Amino acid sequence: MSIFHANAEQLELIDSFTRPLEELFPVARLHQPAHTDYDNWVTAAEFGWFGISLPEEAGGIGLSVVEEALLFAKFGRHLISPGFFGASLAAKTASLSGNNELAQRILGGEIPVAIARQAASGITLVDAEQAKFVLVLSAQGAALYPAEAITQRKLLDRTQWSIALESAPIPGNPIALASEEAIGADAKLLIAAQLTGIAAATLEMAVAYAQLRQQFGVAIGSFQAIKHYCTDMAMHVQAARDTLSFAAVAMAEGRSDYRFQAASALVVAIRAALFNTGKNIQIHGGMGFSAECDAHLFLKRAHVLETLAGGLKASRAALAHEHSIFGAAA
Amino acid sequence: MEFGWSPEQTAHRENVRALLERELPADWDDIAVHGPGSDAQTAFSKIFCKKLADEGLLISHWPKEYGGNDMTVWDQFLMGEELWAAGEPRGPQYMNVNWIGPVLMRYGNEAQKAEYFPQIASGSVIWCQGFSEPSAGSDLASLRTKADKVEGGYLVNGAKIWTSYAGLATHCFLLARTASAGKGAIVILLLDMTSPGVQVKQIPALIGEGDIHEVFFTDVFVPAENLLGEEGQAWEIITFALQNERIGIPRYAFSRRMLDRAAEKLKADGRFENPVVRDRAGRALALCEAARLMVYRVVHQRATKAPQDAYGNLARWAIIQADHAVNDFMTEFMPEGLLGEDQMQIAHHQRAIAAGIASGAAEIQLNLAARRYLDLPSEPRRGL
Repeated sequence: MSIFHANAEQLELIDSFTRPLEELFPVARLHQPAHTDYDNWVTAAEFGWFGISLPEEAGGIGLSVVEEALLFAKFGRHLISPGFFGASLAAKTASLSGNNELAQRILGGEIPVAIARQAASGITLVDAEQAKFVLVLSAQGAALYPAEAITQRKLLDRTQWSIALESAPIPGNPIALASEEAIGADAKLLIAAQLTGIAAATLEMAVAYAQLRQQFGVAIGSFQAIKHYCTDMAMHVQAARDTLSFAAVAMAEGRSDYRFQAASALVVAIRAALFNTGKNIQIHGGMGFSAECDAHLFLKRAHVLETLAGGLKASRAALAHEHSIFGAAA
Repeated sequence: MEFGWSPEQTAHRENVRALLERELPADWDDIAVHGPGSDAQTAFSKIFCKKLADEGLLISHWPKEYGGNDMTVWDQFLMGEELWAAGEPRGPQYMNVNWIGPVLMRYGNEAQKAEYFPQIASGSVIWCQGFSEPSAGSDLASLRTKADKVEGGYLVNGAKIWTSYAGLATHCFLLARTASAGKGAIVILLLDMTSPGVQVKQIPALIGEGDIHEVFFTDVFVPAENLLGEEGQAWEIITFALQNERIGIPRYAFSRRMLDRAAEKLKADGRFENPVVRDRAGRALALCEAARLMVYRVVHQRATKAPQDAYGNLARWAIIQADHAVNDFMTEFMPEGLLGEDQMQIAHHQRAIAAGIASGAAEIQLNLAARRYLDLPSEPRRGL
């Protein structure tokens, strides 16, 4: 076995590639009800963030999904709008449907894209108010629609989840389609990457607070009750990172088990993000559930991403489906 | 970024599988049911390790100068993964080759190497580790077994507890103290278990007959030449030994085997179509995968001689989660197996209970990881 973890060069590349994140997308922006990440949509497109793993001739950067996973882990840390991974998947979907012109326009930032998840009775749209196109993920794959094709939209909430959520009936006649076989692993990988970033950010937040906050005359991080939570969180982060990078390399190299690995990475990442965002609130005590603290923002986003993945249960069933012995359900 | 097994590594894995296919007897599942520490497996290890030695695979990861073949860390690990997936037929002897040997290479004198290496290399000896005591578990430094200096050696008095393999052990890697307090007064003695004054008593336990023991020492004479390293060096040696012990045991391979086995059974009964069953199976599978990939990182660190960090502690914690998840899955959906039908399931259940305790309480590993990996302060000392 040679190694599958990101090397220093790749990490440095992604660091320099994402330098503007802190300035453009500080997590604190989510406390402003009026904020929208779509204000920086064209800038993000100009950085090449939507097409990092697409070839240069298709308007991408020409790197692999390994770098794309690292990029979206950073996006997870900054709670970037899920529309950004919607754009990456939408460009791939358009390109898989043979519509390269549309793919180029998405990558160029000309067409803001949002993402949605299809359930039995309808779709849930996330942060879609400014989008011209919506990519709907489902168990069958991904379907791209012009925003106007999605009718009877109903705003569910804009504040509780710190992002706009809408519902709508399942639309018909997509402009581009990609099957689960063609796009499913990419979707799982990008969601897993963002959840891994969320797990890592909340671990750091919790540890920093445990070192700082004093009770009974000592840092609360000295108490086993707290430090064991922290180490548990660290385990979740490392498990998510390692399964994510294994899956990314498996996909980049076309290993026969890449779908299994992507499904595994998603399940591990959902669990890591839900555990860590929850424990981060607990470790922050009363602060942890105040609106002023960032902790709740991470928990909410973890749930939004989990929903976009189809939910934890469906993700586990999808993993079971990819296992050679477990096999397909009848 | 390179990735994947090389053709040589794949061939090596196939070779180990073929050997297991060939050498494990028809009643292997009965022998292996209580795990690598049971008396049955300890006895079988003498047959199996002899075969491994004949094939040049028992100590192949040792350096050539000690009779090994300089096998790479990854090849050694691959073999361990296959052996563990098969229930670890090396039994307690994995310990001989994984850490007793390497510790002797580093700290043993020439006479000790000449005496112990041929025995270990032939697959005929069983070592046990005399560490834990009734009053010294996680707090190993407070051990009380005495090693009083007498002419020509030491006179050992005291007791060890929870000692695996002791019933059939030929040797003991024994910790004792020459003075009443302090880590500096601890010595390591390489004890012949047939020495007069050594008494072994089995402790009946939920993990199966013959797995753990008490060992009593009454005026046991240990010759001075059986001291390992120098007096005062014991703590350094123990730290080195535990590093070698705790990493790279691919226990998740065994959990994964049990999970696959459970899925096959449920499938045969037509129960695996249930979405709840598939959901829980997916959960356990993900935890096995996470543990596997975390252990791969630890092996990579070892292969590249990177400094040891607390990552191994986190990996062990992940392995315990995987053990538990597979056990929970089987308990939830195959309770009939647990309540008597399926001896392997029962044995896995017992092992899952012991997973976070055997080879050191897992909470201590969490403390270590918190300090070394997350830079969290140590627990405040309680004043008296």
